[in-house]
Amino acid sequence: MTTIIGNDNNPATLKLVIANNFARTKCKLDLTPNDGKRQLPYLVANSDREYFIPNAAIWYLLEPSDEISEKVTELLELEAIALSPSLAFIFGGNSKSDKIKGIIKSSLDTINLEIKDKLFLIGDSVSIADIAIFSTLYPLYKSEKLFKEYLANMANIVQWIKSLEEKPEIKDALKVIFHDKVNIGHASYHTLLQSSKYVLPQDDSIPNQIQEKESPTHEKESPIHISEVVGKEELEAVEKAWKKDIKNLPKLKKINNIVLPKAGEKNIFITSALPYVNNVPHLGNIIGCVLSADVFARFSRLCNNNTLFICGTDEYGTATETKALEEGLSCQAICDKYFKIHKEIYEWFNISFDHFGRTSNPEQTELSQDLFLQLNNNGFMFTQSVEQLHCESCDRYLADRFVEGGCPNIGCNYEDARGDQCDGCGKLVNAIELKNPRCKVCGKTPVLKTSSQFFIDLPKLEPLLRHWMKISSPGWSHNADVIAKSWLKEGLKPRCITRDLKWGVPVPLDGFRNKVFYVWFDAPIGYISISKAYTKDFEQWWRPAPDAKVTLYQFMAKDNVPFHGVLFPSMLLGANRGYVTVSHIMATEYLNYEDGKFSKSRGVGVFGNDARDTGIPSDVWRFYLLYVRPESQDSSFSWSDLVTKNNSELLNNLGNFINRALVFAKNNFNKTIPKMELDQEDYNLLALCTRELKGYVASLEKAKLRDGIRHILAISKLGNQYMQSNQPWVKLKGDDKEKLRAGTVIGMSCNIACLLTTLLEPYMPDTSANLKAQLKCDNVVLDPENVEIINLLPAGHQIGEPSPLFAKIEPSRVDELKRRFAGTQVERNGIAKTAVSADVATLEAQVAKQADKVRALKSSAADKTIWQPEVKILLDLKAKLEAVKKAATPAPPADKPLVNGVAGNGEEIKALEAAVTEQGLVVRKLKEGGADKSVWQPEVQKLLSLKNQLASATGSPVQPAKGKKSKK
Amino acid sequence: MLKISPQNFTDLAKYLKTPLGKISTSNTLFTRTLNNSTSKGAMNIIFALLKDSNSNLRPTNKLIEIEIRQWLEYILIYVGNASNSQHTQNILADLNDFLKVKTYLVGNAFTIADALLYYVLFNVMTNLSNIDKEKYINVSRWFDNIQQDSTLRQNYNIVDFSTNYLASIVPAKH
Repeated sequence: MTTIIGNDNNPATLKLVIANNFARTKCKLDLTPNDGKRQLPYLVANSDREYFIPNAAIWYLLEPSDEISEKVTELLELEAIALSPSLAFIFGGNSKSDKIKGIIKSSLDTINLEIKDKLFLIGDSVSIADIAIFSTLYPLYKSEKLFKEYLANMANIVQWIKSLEEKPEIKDALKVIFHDKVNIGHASYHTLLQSSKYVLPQDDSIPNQIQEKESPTHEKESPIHISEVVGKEELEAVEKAWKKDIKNLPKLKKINNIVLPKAGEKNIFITSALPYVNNVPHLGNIIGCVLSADVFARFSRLCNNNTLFICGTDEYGTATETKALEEGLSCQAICDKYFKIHKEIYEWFNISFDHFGRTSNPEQTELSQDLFLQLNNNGFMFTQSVEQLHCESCDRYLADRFVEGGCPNIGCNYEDARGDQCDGCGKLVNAIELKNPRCKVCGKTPVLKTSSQFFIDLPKLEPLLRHWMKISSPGWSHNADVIAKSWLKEGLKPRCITRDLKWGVPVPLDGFRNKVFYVWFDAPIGYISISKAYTKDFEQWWRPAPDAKVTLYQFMAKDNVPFHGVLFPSMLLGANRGYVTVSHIMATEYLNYEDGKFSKSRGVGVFGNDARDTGIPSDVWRFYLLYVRPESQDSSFSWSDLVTKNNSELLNNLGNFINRALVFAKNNFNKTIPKMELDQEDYNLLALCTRELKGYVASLEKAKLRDGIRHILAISKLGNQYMQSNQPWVKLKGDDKEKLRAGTVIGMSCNIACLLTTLLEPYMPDTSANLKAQLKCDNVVLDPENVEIINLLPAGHQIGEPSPLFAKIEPSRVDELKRRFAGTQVERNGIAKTAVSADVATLEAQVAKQADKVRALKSSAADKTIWQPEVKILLDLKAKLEAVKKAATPAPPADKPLVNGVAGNGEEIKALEAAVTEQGLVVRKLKEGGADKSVWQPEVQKLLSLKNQLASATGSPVQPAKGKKSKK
Repeated sequence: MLKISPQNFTDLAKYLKTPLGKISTSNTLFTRTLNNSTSKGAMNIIFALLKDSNSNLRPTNKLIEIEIRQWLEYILIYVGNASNSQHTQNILADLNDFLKVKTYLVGNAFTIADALLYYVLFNVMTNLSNIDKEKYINVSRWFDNIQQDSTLRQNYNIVDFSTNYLASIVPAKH
């Protein structure tokens, strides 16, 4: 049986239904398909043949005769490539392209000519050319406004539509698709755009177009479908809400020092995946966990939930040891250094952690050991011996990455394969199979030793986990669900949880005390230990009282799902202490950089500190990252898109609306909200905004952050349209009645701006704060049970001084930024500066310490053989410091003038450095020679002034020559 | 919105060994003029080329012809308009899904729709990373099959899919 599968209100579905009526094929009609992912409409023919292109489907239903087939083809193509997508983009999307408008006009001209003095486009009966074009134009014809603009002087077309409309086959079809609705213009084309998933071509000659909106992926995700028809009941509800007294609104809770769950209230516990400490986080990391979690946490606070949001750096493990070797620092020093960098970056991004901790805290050791012992007591641990390479000279077991040797894979002769993977052939390697293995640190040949390790018995925990997952996983993001289930599908295997390393939490059992826990075992315990560092009452969050239920949300990128969806819950369930387990795993896909991948290890892409250095405000970064949040599939970061979004969405849409409303209130009403008398149109606007607001709350409750932002923009778009169609600037000059109307429009607009202030808070906290100051208002509580718009700024409310919220970013900056961030982190010296200067500081500290040691040794009159090696260490450190400093003081980036305006060049600095060293020697000699203070004092002055010069030349406030003070 | 370039018609005409005539573009449709006869629209041009060439690629029955129309229109309005990487990835994903159980776009034999899609996709496939070639394995298989015909390929290079055949042994890291 042939079936038409389509949807209401869609002109493309109309084509199929009309063709079916004419052909009298009596197809089955299904207008409520469940599969939201497919293009609509489509036709399933008898023999399982499917037509997903509407024009092919109607060709199948009502095939034209051979004589007219060429003409039909031509007109159908005109309809398919020029008319239908253009109408969808202009009226169904928000494209304002003049070029596309031009295409619509010229296609209409062509059709108007074709139909001149004829009843049908081809021959003397209805053909599918008539059906297709009629269907596509019908919403245009039915909308009073669009009719005026496009069809007013197309008499032939109008005549033709009028006569077709009366045909019973068509009349019936119109009823089926549009249900006698009247104003179907924009809404129908919106449906068309969503259902067809048309792709808007990128064309340089189309200025200011907004591609995101039209691209099919977003249409799939976006739940935004708003027809402009508002029912009577809805209007009444809106009117009732608007007239509520603002004084009766619930107030936002004041946040005390420590947030704890409370009985009978909603208690939301939010964690963001702990970033690994070995590098600066890139934008992909930021959107994947901390930023997403932050928006959700801020939203949760706006809903008056007791909200705890924690995160911290994950510090233990091999990668830290590797990094420490690489930078010549101790593991602790590496962690301290990067912890600081992470913390600063998140502060800059305005991440509202209640606590940002670290896993190298003492609580971590205590809790990891405790949980381990508990699991061991409950019988979920066993030991087994494992073969590992051991380097005698370094006295340690070598992690896979610390061994190199010949690739064991047949056909590959690569000599420097790593213990986990061969860079020569790309295949995975088993470390113990390497030919001629050698220690990466000392180069000696390691020997194979067996050592005993602890394993967590996941197969034993599997039934428990399966049961738990059935209950918990419906609240997870789709990808998290899929990944976790695929793990269970394969069946769980025991996992080794200890390692022969030094940097980690020691195993608290005899015979194992020289081992530490493998990082994946202790890292998730970090969530608990960081909570403990936040409050001594952390158990109220982790083992809550039965009446103070806690809901745990965990945000991460998809690669972290196995740990949060399988391993950590297994550990908590195995402990059997009533720990809170995750209810909502919110995993993102990956964010790509331009068209490649972000890479921490290779330094490709934009990093947290780079974002700050661009001078683009953190709110704009937050907005853009959330706008492209890789929610259900990978998405890309692109500079040009960032600039476009800033200029089109923030500046022209959101900023423009709010600023216009406020400036009008300032200039015409003396910064006072004028008297408002709402009419039908105003309530209509409120109804549409309420729909968006409901969409916003519903999206954010499900942590669909990307959709939330679109609802905000939709509200300001409605606001802009409202202002444009009411033209208060004209009415202000009219009679009293018109003036009142103008006042109402401005008052309404300010009220919507006030609503936006709250909605913006999770996404753009700085902007929201700025706007609150301009409007002199506060955040309002969002109640997901009862979403409505109240008169937040009553007549007479005084506002502050309006100022623009966003600045334009010149499109010319795109190329500059692209260039600046091309290549890898290391290649961009200037950018790496912040990280390197931290190196300088730590190295300097080391030099100073070593110098003290040498001095002490020398003064204790020890033998030369004793202090000689120490001096050598000192010299090495100094050399390293020199090298690092050279790298740290490159020519400054051209667009950033030096702090004090003194342009430093390399040579000048070198000369100064030499002078400082020389003068330092003079001073030291004098002092050592036991000269009087009056003699060496002036020389010291000279040295200091030289140093100052050097400092201003390099533009860095650190004392560059500090290390050189020490004795040689 | 003419994103299918005249070059695509030149290639098709060459492949079908028939004169192309003159291709012009108004701002809506392509027009072909040859010996005082004109064809308007890309589909009509392609059907005219087929007719002129007397090639055995002419659709064998009406149902096949409708499916060819369907694919030509798909190529015109979806593939041809995909202008950024996101769009392209979506198109490749759709095609990959479709080609899961198909060797050719229409029926069980090569048609002009395969030829057009080959020319339109050529640049995309050339620049595809190995990982993506594996990700869109069905599109890769289809493309590799189609490109073996040297008359179709003309001066275009063979796109290398050899890593795909290793994928079953060593899957690329995603």
